[in-house]
Amino acid sequence: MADRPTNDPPVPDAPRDLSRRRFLGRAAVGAGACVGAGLLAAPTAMVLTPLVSDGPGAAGERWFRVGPLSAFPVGGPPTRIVLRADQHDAWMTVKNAPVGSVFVQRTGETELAVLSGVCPHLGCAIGYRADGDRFQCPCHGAAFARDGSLAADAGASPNPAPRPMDALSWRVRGDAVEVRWVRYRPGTAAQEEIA
Amino acid sequence: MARLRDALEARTGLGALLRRFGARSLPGARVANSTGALVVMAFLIQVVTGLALATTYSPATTTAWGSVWAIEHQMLLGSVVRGVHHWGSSAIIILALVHMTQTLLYGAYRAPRDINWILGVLMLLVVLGLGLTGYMLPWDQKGYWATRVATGIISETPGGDALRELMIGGSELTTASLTRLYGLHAMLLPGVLGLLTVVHVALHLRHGTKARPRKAAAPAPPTVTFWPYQAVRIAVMSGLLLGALLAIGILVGVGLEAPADPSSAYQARPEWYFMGLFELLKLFDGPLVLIGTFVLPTLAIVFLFAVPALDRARDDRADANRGPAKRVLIPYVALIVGAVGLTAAALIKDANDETYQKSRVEVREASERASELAALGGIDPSGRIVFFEAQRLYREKGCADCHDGTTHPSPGLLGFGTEERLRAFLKAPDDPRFFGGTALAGKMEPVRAEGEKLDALVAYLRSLGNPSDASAEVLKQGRKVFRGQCTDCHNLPGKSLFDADAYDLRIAGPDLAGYGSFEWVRALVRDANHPTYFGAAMSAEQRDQAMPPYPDLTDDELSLLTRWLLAGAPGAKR
Repeated sequence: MADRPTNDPPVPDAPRDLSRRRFLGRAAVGAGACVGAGLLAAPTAMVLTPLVSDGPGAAGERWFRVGPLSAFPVGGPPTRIVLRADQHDAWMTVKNAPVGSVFVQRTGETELAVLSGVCPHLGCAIGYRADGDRFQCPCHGAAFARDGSLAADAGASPNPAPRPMDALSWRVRGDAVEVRWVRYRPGTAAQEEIA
Repeated sequence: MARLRDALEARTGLGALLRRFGARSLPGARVANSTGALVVMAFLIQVVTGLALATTYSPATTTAWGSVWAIEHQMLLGSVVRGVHHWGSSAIIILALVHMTQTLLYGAYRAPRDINWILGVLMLLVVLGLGLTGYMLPWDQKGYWATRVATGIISETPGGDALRELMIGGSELTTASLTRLYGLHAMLLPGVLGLLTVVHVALHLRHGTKARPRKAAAPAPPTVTFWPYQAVRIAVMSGLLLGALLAIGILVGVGLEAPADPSSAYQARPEWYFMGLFELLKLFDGPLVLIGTFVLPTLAIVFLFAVPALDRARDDRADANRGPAKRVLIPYVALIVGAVGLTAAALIKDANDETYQKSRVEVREASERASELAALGGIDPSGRIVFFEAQRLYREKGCADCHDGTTHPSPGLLGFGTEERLRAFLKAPDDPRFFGGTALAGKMEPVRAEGEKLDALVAYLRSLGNPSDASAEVLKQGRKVFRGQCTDCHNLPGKSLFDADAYDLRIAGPDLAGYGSFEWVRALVRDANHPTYFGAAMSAEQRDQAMPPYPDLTDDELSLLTRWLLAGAPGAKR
């Protein structure tokens, strides 16, 4: 091949030329494929970033201070507390963004019950209704007793919630009540933590 | 498979089209004849990388810098994509100029290719427009100031004020400018360039590739088919182009300078392909400035458009496959030499300008600091790099004067709020890092606890303002130590016996309820001499000498400083 100047005209019926032509054709396809792959590699990786990085979420620790112990009278009704933390929004950090809500009840001198305000049915925000002394989800009518268990009577329709309200860990530090915020997957009978 | 191919062929005729394309005969297969294809390739690279960038980029003054920062630091290979896109704009301009020069030297602007020449000049202007409109999008210092200069030049031309306002959506560079420039850069101009490219290539296929100019006596070059002889050359050259851009994108990258700051004194420079124009302006003064901003550039553009009209030789005569006429070649060479000369003059001047080079060092430092601090303390929804702004306040509000130990000794701030620092403070409050040399020197005795007890005290103090992972027993022990050693001067937190007025002004140390929390530190910054902080421990005279209250700090500025302090005051001098 080296003895042949590149500018020579192709003579299709010369076998040597035919093999050269085939070789160059394959080289062109190969080089073209490499160029295509090289061109798409980095942009594709960039677009696929969400699959490998953490989604939006609270930055930092998951323990939250919800108030002094004295803020929750023994035997009092559930108190709704909105948890706030620095939260990632794409490249931004939003200070004190609401992360979720919890219901805190003081069941004894140093005993608390903390329930997640996220409905285990489909993840709506549960409300506490003082008149019936129970929790009710506004979306699909899931109802829970004051201790978070499934209410036997959910109104006209069967209770759609697959499990009781999610209880959260708590601790008292000095005088401060701290709650560990965890999100559980809605819609399943078993509790499953969402990272 | 074959049946599928036949069915597709019967319905689209794609194979026949490709075969016809490949069977075109060319006057020899030559690497030099790939310049047009390479411009198309460079455009394709810009489209693909631009689409990827558009998935993250957000055009607003509050989000542009942050989104580009995210591309650089959070997206997989995002810095490579952005690097290729940035250098790709230079590549497309260089390749377009090479392609244009080659076309001119081949005399390929003559009829019937004259319309394609005119389209080509138009495409070059669109490419320059893409460079101009893309430059400010990151909203960093470099892009902001370069665009201020460039749009300033536009406004000095006749009718330019209106053009400038239309381009940037008002009289100042704002979010409206970003959305407009982004629309032009990512939608309109690429669309126009794409359409022009299709027409340009279609006309090229119609008229065929023009052979190199040759003497009438020389034999006509042998012809070859496009496929595979020219195709393989284009593919390899495209690979080299892409490889070079990837290499530059990875090894050099594109810096992201600090966010645009209209109040800063920044030595603005446009991108290199506008440097010649920038230099040209400096040659003219007063009323003559119009020559530099308008007359000469317009003449150059008119000349380029008029090239086919200036040389009406016919190529179809047997003796006339020749290069450009002198009246085309000479002005073109003058134009290129002038542009290259001006660009080189501008670049050399900058390279030898000590003030400018010094300012570049500062710019690079600020750029690095901005990116590092964005990673450390985040970017807030108003687009500020929290710690970058806090550092600015620390310098500009006078904090640094004392806390750097330059004016008079004050506690250093570096490591503020860390456990290690608290421990050191408890053992030696009069260390020069802390109260030593200040009015508070000698006011607090070192804590006598050691080992486990000291650990417990530290854990207890740190639990006062923030959630704590220490066990309840440890905290209880810490509280006991605190009770034994600290309550002569400090309140026992959680049992507020005193209010501010009831403090014993001779001995009372700061109220530690909420110690280390955001609120506690913010109140400390606002007025460190408040009786519930250090005021009670000092005489009136001492208080006058001590840290003044900062009532003019806005809540917002206080919050920025507090967040920065709680993170250990990164960047504080000591």
